[in-house]
Amino acid sequence: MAGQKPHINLVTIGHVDHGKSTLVGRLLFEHGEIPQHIIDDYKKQADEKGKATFEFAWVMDRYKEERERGVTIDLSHRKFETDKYYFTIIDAPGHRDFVKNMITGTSQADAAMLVISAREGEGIMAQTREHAFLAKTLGVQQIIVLANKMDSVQPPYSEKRFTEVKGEIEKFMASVGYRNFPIIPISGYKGDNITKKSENMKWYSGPTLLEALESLKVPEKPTNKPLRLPVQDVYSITGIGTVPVGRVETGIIKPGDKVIFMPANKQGEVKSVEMHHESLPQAEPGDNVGFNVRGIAKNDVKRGDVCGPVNAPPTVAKSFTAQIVVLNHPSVIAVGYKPVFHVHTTQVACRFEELVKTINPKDGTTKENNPQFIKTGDIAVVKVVPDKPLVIEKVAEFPQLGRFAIRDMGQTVAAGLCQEVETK
Amino acid sequence: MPSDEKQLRRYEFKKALEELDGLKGRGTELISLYIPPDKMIYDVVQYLREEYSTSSNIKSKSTRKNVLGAIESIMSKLKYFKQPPDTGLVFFVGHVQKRGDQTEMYSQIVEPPEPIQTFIYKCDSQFYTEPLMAQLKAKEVYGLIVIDRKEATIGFLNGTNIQVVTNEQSLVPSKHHQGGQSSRRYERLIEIAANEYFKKIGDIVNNTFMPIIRDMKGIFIGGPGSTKNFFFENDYMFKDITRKVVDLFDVGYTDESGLRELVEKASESMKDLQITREKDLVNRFMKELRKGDEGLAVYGEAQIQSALERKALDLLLLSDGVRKTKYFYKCPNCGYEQEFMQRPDDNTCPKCGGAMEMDHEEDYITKLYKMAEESGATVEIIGDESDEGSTLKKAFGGVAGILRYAPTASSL
Ligand SMILES: Nc1nc2c(ncn2[C@@H]2O[C@H](COP(=O)(O)OP(=O)(O)OP(=O)(O)O)[C@@H](O)[C@H]2O)c(=O)[nH]1
Ligand SMILES: [Mg+2]
Repeated sequence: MAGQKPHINLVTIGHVDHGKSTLVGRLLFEHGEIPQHIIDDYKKQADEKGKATFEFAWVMDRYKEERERGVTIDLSHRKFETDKYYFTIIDAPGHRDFVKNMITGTSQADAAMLVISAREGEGIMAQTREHAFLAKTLGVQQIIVLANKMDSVQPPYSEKRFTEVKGEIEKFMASVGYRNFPIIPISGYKGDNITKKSENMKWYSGPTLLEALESLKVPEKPTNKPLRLPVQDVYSITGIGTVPVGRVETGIIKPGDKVIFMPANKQGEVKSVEMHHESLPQAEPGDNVGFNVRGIAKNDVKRGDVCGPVNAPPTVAKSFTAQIVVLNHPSVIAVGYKPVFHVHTTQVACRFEELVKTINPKDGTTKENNPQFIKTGDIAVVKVVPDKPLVIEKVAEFPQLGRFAIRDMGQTVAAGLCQEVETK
Repeated sequence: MPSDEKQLRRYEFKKALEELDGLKGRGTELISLYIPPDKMIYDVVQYLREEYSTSSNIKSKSTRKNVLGAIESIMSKLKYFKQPPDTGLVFFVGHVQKRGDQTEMYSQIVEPPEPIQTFIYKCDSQFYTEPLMAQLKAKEVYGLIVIDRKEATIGFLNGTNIQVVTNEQSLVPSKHHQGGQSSRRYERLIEIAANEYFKKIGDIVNNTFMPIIRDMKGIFIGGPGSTKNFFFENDYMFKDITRKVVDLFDVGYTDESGLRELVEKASESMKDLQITREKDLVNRFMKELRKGDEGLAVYGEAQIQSALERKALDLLLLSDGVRKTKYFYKCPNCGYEQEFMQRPDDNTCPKCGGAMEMDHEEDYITKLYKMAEESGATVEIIGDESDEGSTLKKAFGGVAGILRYAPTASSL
């Protein structure tokens, strides 16, 4: 039961088709969460649909469109308990069109499993890079890298190929800023090194995936701060009412609390809180919950709103000042530029209003005041104006709500931290 | 690529209209006359004669005098035309207020860029410019739809301007709450909710696009994954609309940014879109900027002017919204000359204390344009409606360019 064991949110990330959903399906299956006959059933149906080998992925991919194409579109959340921990696994999509969903999932995670196909000609690819950068940017501290599909490298389960891929991964991950993380050779489809040591890779002496999960550290729980709960989705369930869902970032939520949703500016009283279909006396930071609110109608609240206490409501920004680092922009960024900002569970187009200064990365001193433009590699302080009302907090007060990624024309171009918020 | 003469004309035309818009008469005494191309001049003169006799009854003496004067002036100018030009003719004539109490006779004849549709005679305290303004705006219109299971946004691409009509959230449940036993039932409920949502979006699309379907050049549909194909293929929209769909594109977002991404994707296959041309040009400039010292980008009046003088400029980008006129004053007493960026409030000669008079005025944009023509540089006037266009204007003062060759230290 939740509440007794520490809760860790785990997101799967990595390039499309590298085997994220299959891995999660396999993990749940080996751990006894999914009975054999369901997998057999999925296998038969998938074969008929011309989607052979997708049986494990189907555990997570439940939309018609997902099963027909063999591509994950939307996030799915599954619980999973080990001796030590209560996990929520968030399976994210890898396709470049769905990075926005991946970001939402990652913004809720304490740790990530980065899945990289070890096959010749695969390895580190476009979304492997983008996802790793995003995880780092969005504050995911702990990461486990999985060199997947070891059953189909040449020759199968080759130590040489693993060593090669491992070298590439280490170099790449250092450039992103991750150090000291396990790299585990696995096969999600065949089940090597998931919960049991693989007989096929005797040369490997490190932990299995399950062991690596058990050695994750418990994230700290900022329970003393006011409640902040960004809404990921809203359900309207007949007979029950409006149920927003999302992850508690800070503070506590429990039945009887008077809460307000911003920027919607709608108030209500919490009736019940539940996680994975079990009702909770209260939810803490890290808990991914659905909660029923009295006094809130179907259309009152939507994705991207943030729930907080009535007496300390979430901050709605008219504009905000942030420090950003330009990761990868094809030209230059100047005043007037309007890309998409991803903050917690929301995406809002924001216009660059002022380039305040650029900063020396070495010592943090000012390089240039009011530069005409900034480009890849620059660290800058900027002022931006959201297109529509947006909840964002100073990173010093609520780190989880002050981090953001900036995307434009299908790629992540910059990342940043909110320093000051100008309210209405 | 030679500069487009039309662009300069458009610019000058727009500028003239804006000027006209600012003028006021003291009474209802400013005449606007729109003559379609197929109207006989003779009929127009006949019409004006009647107006002349009616206007002789105007009570206010000065208004009467001014109106009659204006009509006379138009009639005398009409003598030079056997028939209206291809697009027709527009007259703006009347006494306009100057500073203080003075008025001044003003007369402007315009050949409109597009044919005038109806004959209009108007006598008012302001000139009637709307039909011409509308001509400037009449551009290519495309319909835009971005859709996935969570939301949809519908809008228009109007020339270089993307307008959002509506953004709809779906409320279709996602996988978050799926459970073990009831999962089949839950999946069915989700698909029913999705169908309702697609129907609703289809209705909105039909209602938005049908009234102007004839005037739309085409429709683009975008969105992540295959939801958009599903929506397109399953009769949620009227046949007349489906037929207008040019193409479907993968885009990551389904809000307003999705519309922008869609236009970007669509324009790759439609190079002739005005918005694409403008974006491409500004992006070329910004990419040169990124190269730093080796780059070919220059911006700001001083740099551009010097590059033009050295004949080193290849491409000159000017923002449509930039209006700069320089005023040259001269003192009739001592011959002292001075140039102003605005009409000066104080025209006392700093040398002899006499009153300076305006010698001539010069439109800065026109001047740069002419300099560029002479030095063989291509000129592009960029609208400020697109994001890139507004960046050019806001961040770079609306005057930028690309050099023919990288500047060496000595040439700077
Ligand atoms: N041989 C082999 N195939 C694998 C393995 N893991 C996954 N696959 C195959 O790779 C394909 C894609 O697997 P998915 O699990 O859907 O990949 P994904 O990373 O979830 O893909 P997206 O969610 O769409 O980004 C399927 O055909 C899987 O059977 C593996 O360990 N070995
Ligand atoms: Mg998947």
